[in-house]
Amino acid sequence: MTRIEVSIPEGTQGDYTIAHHDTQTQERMWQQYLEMKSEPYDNHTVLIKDACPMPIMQDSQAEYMEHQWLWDNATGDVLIGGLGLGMVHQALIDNPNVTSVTVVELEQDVVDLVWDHCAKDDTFTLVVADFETWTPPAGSSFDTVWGDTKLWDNPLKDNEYQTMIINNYSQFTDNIGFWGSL
Amino acid sequence: MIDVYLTGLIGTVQQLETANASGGGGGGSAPSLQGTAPNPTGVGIAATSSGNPSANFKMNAQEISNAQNASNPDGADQFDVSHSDFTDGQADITIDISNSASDLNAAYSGHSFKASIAFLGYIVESSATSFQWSLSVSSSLSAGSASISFPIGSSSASTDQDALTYGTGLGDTQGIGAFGDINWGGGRGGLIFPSDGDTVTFTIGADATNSNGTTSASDLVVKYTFED
Repeated sequence: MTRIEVSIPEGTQGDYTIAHHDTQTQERMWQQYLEMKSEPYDNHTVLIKDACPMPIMQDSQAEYMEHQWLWDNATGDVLIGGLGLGMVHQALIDNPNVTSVTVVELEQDVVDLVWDHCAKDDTFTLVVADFETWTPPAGSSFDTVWGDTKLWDNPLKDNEYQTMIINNYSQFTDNIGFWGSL
Repeated sequence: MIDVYLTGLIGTVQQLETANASGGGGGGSAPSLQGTAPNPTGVGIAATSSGNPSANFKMNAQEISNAQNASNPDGADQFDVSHSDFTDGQADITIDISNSASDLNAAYSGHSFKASIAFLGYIVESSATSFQWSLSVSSSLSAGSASISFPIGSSSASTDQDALTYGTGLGDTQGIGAFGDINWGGGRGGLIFPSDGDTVTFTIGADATNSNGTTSASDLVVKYTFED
């Protein structure tokens, strides 16, 4: 079993909350999540968005598996769409093939909750912008782009979201992957 | 040329899972004679035990998920199947997801991470002394998965000839003793439901056995198609 555990204190900023859930937590469909994912771990840090009935990210085993494309493909200059819990950062730091990481996050509230507490080094750059529409600076290119900004309350269908991201970033990369549901 | 890798959400998942098929694989295999007595004959799956021919090659199915919907707030029925839905041994059920954000989400969000279906039938036969139900599933899903599960304490399908009822009390029959599960995806704020064109197909089999051998009934098929 594999998991990347984060260490982020509980707190709320605007519509977003960092919470620590355990096996007894009832709020936000947490029991449903644990059962749905057959999650073997007891304690988790989760990121909650008010408008969503379930946490939008958690440092679970399922999350690790849902990032498998990134683990398999991350190399060179990596662009990450969505900060979330910053869960992927340590794995990218530990990957000798990764030379830089650019994280694009729309919500300043999420940045305020997470950025100071997540793993990062001097190869990391944070851009506060909408990943779905952001245009990288002229001359930019990325070896790997990871799209993970589509939340439950996004009206786009999965294929519509993915097509949009592909159209937006295909001129900057030839390798795009997306968070995958189990 | 751009290489695009679409994991999970868009990648179609082909899946096949089979639960407990002892003996023949269905299809109404002809009895083989051993000595002077034949295998069970006239073996088939029916929706009643009455012997009414119009109920043959049909069954019912009942959703048992802890879900809700507007018309039946005490339970789910989105995936119920009537024996009248069967034609030539197959029931094609369309699940309308055009308004899934309000319908499926209202039914399952906070209530159940899956649609679980109990299949109800009766093994018609002559001269059988034991019985075995079986259930298998194949699916093409853009999110989530499909699988087979069993009642608590059981690891195989029922050996009862009469599997017409589903109950939750101690000792109650629970249909054919194997449940079809359609497991929703999720993890970015809520449940994720199948997309237009996704399918889940359950195949129900039944064997009847006596001292001379086993005869398999023709399989019944329940196919759910999600349509936008």
